Amino acid sequence: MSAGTISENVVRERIADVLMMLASITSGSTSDRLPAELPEDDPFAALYAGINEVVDTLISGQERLETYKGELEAKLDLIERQRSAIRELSTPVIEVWANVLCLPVVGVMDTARSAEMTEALLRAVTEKKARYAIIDVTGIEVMDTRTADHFLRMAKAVRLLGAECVVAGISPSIAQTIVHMGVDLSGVITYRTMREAMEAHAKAGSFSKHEALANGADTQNGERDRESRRQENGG
Amino acid sequence: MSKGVSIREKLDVFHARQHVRGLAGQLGFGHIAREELAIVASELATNILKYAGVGELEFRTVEDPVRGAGIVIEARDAGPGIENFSFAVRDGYGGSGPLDPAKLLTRGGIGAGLGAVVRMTDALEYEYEAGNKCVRATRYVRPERRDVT
Repeated sequence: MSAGTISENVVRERIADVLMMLASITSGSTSDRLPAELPEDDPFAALYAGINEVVDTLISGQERLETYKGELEAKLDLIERQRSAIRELSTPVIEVWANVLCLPVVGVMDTARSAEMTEALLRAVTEKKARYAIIDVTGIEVMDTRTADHFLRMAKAVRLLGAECVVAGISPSIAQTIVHMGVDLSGVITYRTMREAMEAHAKAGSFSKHEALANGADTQNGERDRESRRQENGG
Repeated sequence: MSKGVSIREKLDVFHARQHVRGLAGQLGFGHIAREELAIVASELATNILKYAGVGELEFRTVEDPVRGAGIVIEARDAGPGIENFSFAVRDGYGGSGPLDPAKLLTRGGIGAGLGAVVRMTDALEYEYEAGNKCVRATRYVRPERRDVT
């Protein structure tokens, strides 16, 4: 059969075949292909083969895309988890001892972070029933005046919640910032280092290592013991 | 010489800070000034995230005939314009007026971001044209003589 002798009916039939196959691919089928058993000199043989190839490429591309999508979703999930980890790391509130919180601050202190930190500290003071909170700013060298002011307010807010709040490790430049603000510093207790702040707290008799060890996790008892001892010592 | 850092998420704020620190170091800014510029970049980038969602921070060096070398940080986004910029730079104020102190923290800040930028830079400009917002902060290496304040 040569190209010239193919009947019009056959041509119509072949076109119908092509259209049906394309329609089924469009509607989501992945297995439909045009018949490949046409004679070699049939003008439709090359067309069929071409269409089949395009469909193959399309479907394998789609499958690859699906795999990538899955991978991407897994990665986005990972990023989300890392992000929340970073968020937590940026404002860690550590319970270093029963009722003693420490807020070590490192890196850059901008206004958004100081707001986050206030929230984290105040929540931790309430949740952990803290009596003493140490804000350690050794890792911060520069602070805006308003941010420094916010920090001092944070210390006062902690006091409103019934805990004592001290600041440790103020850098020379932050000291200048605070003095330039001209705020009343009488209510803010500061220590040179975190260690000094802890030692001062220990000396004040609020807690001692032996006592905490003896009481173990029973902090409520420890609380009562400390309370009575403080009274015995006359404050 | 200029370079942009696109701001899309919180980690980009970190990149912006790292970038400005590097550039400021090359220009000869002192240690404290470098950290202050990091705060400036932080505040501008945070504002992009807060008000526009996405944007870009561009860092440029400038050479002023009087003030000498400096660094320009340009924050660009397509977010809503700032109603009143002179309000926005005041502590405890937003673009449309005073902020309610009781609601400050729920806004995710203390209402002093641009105020901090003003205090830590030599010039701050604001432009808004056809939906494009630009906040430009300039800081020179040589400190300004602030004899009269």
